[in-house]
Amino acid sequence: MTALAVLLLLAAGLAWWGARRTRDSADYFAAGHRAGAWLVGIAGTAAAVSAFTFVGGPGMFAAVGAGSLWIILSAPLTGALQCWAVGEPVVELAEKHRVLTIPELVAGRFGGHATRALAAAVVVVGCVASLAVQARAVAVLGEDFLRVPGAAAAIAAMLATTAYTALGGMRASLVADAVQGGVMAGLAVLLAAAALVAAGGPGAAVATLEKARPVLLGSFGAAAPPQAWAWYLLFCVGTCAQPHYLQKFLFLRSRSQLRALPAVLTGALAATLAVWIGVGLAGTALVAQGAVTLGRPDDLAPRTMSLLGPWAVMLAGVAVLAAMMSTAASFLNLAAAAVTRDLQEALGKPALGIPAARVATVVFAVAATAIGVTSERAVVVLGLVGWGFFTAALLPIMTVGLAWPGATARGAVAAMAAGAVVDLVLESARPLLPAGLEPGLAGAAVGMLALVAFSWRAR
Amino acid sequence: MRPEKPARAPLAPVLAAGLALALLAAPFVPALFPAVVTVASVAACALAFARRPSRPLLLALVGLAAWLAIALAGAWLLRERPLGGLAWVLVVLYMVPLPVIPWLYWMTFRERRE
Repeated sequence: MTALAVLLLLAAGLAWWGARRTRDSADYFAAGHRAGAWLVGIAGTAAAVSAFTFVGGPGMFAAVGAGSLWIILSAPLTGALQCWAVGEPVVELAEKHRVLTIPELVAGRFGGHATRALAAAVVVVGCVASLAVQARAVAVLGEDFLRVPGAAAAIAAMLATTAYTALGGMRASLVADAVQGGVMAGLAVLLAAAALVAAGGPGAAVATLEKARPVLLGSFGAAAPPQAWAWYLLFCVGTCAQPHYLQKFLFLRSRSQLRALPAVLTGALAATLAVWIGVGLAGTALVAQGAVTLGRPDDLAPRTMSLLGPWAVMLAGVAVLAAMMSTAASFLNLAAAAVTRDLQEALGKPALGIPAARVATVVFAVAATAIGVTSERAVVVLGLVGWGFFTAALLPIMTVGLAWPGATARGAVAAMAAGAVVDLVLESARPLLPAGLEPGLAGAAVGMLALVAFSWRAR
Repeated sequence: MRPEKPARAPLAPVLAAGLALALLAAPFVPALFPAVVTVASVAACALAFARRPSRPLLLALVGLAAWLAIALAGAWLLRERPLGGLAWVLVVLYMVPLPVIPWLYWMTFRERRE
C-alpha cells in the first residue's frame, strides 16, 4: 500500500509538471517533436515491454523451454528493422506534414478520409483491448507481487497513469516512460542475475535441465519448429505495425536522431529481456531441483521471486507496475488522439482540443479498468486483440504502403479491413489452427494481397 | 491532405504478394518457413534500400540475409542437441548480433534522401 501511495504522489507531481509545459496539440500528442534518440529509445522500449515480459515470458520458458525464446530472439534486429522499414519514411512524412498521430500519417501518405477513419478505428479497438488486458494483469500481479487486493492495484496504477497522461499528454508520458524504462531494465538485469545465482549459476541451471527435462533445451525446446519460426517473424516484422512503437518516431526532433535510435532501443530491450531468459532458465531449473513448485506456468516468476526473498518480490512488483504503466500511457494517448482528432477530422469536423482529449483519456482509462477488473470473460475476448491484430491491420500499409508509390487509398482501406477481419476470425479459432499459422501473420499476408490487388485494380 | 508519393520501389508489390502467398502456405509446408522468415525480415529492412540505395547498405543487407539464413539453418540442424541447440540460438541468433546490427544501421545511415 505504501508503494501505491508513493506511486500516486509521484504521478501527481509529474502530471503538474506536464500540464504546465503542454501548450498545444503538438506538445500533447507528439511531445512537441522535441525528443532525442536516448529519450525516445528508452521510453519506446518501456512502452513496448508489458507485464508479459516479467511474468508470461518466464512462465512460457517453464512450459516450452527454449521454444519461448523465439519470441524475443529477433530483439537484435528489430531496432534497426523499425528504422529502416518505417522510421525513416515516418519521420520524413511527419516533418513534411507536421502530423501528430499515426492515422493522420496514414492519411498523409494515401489521402482520403476513409483511410484515416479506418486507421483510427483500428487504433481505438486495439488500444482499448490492450488497456483492459494491462488492467487485468496488474490486478492479478498486484496480488502476487505487492500483496494488495487486485482491484486496488489496478485502480491505483491506472489512476496514476491517467493523471499524468491526461494532464501532461506525451510531454509528461515520455519522461515517465523513460524513467520507467530505465527502472525496468535495471531491475530486470538484477532479478535475472539473482535468480541465476540461486540456481547455482547459468551452467548449473542448464546442467540441471539437461538431466531433468532435456526436452526444454535444444534449439526449439518443446515448441514445434514452425511455431517457433512464426513467433520469430511475428515479433520481428510485427514491430513495424505497433502504433505505440510508431508513435515514438513522431516525437523525434529531427531525422538525424534516427542514427543512434537502434542502438538505444536494442540496448534497453536486451537489458529488459534478461528477465525472460534469466528467470525463465533459473526458475525452471529450481522447479526441477524441487526448490520451487508450480500450479501453472505463470506462477514461475512470482514463486521464484518469493524464494529469493521479500526484496525481490517488492522489486519485481515495481518492475511490473512500471511495465504496465508505460504501456498503458501510450495506449491512452493514442486512443484519445484517435477519437478527438482523427475520427473528427475524418468526418469533416474540426479536431477537438486538449480539454476534450483529457476527458477522452479519463473515459478510456475508466472503461478499460472496469472491464479489466470486473469481467474475466471480456478480458479473454479482448486479449485476442493485441500485437497480432495491429500486425494484421497495419503491417501492409506501414511497410509496402509507405514504400510503393502505386499503393492507393482504396488498397490501404482493403488491406486494413481484410487484415483485421482475418486476424479476428483466426484468433477465435486458434485451438484448431496448425502449428505456425499465426493469426496476425495470416491477416498481414491477406492484407498485403488486398493492398496489392486493390491498388493495381484502381490503377 | 494530398497523398504523398514515396520513392520508386517497383519490385515491392511483386515481392510482397509472393511473400504473402508463401507465408500463407508455410504452416502447411514447414520447409518453406526458414526461407520465408529470412526473406521477409531482410526484405522489410531492404525497403530502406528502395528509398536510398547505396553500396554500404546493400552489403549490410546481404550480410544480414547470410547471418539469418545460417542462424536458422544451424538451429534446425542442432534441434535435437540440448546444449548445442540452446547455445546456438542464444549466441548466434541473439548475443552476437546485439551490438552488430545497430552498428550496421549507424554506419549505413544517410542524413537525407537523395
